[in-house]
Amino acid sequence: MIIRRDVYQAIADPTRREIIERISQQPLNLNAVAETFDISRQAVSRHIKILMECELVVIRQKGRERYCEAKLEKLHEVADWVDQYKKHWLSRFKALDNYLTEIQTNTKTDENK
Amino acid sequence: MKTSNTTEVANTKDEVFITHIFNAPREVVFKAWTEPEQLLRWFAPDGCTIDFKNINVQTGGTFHSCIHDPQFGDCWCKGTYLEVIYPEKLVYTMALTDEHGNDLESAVDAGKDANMPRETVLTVTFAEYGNQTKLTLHQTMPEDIAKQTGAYQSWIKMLHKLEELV
Repeated sequence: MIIRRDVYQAIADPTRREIIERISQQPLNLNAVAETFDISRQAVSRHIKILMECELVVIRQKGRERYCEAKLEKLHEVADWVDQYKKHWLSRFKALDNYLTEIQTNTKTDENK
Repeated sequence: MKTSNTTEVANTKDEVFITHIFNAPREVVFKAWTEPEQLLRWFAPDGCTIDFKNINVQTGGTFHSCIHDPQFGDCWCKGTYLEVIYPEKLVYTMALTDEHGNDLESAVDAGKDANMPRETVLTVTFAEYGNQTKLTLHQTMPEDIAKQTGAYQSWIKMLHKLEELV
């Protein structure tokens, strides 16, 4: 059983997605995060630990409080494959536009196939 | 990042969905997508060239292509044509392979991002639009990515919300 620690692992769990959503607006102190869930504080801490290991969350000490802060840049990895292909197709469409212009201005289009 | 005012892109939960208007009758556009010698002329990404080890564009036919990228080297790809309906529809699968057509154990072997899908399904439709063609391209997310991300759907919704904040 390999322990994966990446953004996919982080968001595979609904509680963890919920945690990210809550702290995405503003950092919250750890107790405030834990209080809003029906699960034990320990369980919430475990999820936060995983989120830290996946580099989606950092804990900052402010005075006596510990704040949980979201690092959302990592999330873009998830959208990457869609973006990757989108860019890919847009550049191909451009190439096809050029190609179609080329063959249509050239009256000797290849019709013999 | 719009390339032209005739392209629309919509990303749903796990798929690429693009429409584009081409200035050519749909028979011409369809042939550009399905005739190998025409594909050679435009299908490779910028700065790359494409070769077909074999290609048989008909329902049930397969292709095995290689994109030569001066930066990243060769990238082999194979797939099966599930539907070829002249001049309106093309459905095919696409997966990364090695030179001999063996599926790659992992996309990493092809020098791609580890999150690159193993196999995806493309549906391309060609609609008459006056003397132009409205092409719609739809690419599904492969299962292994979907599985990796758990409840991807709700996640992406959230991601869009978050994008405004990042």
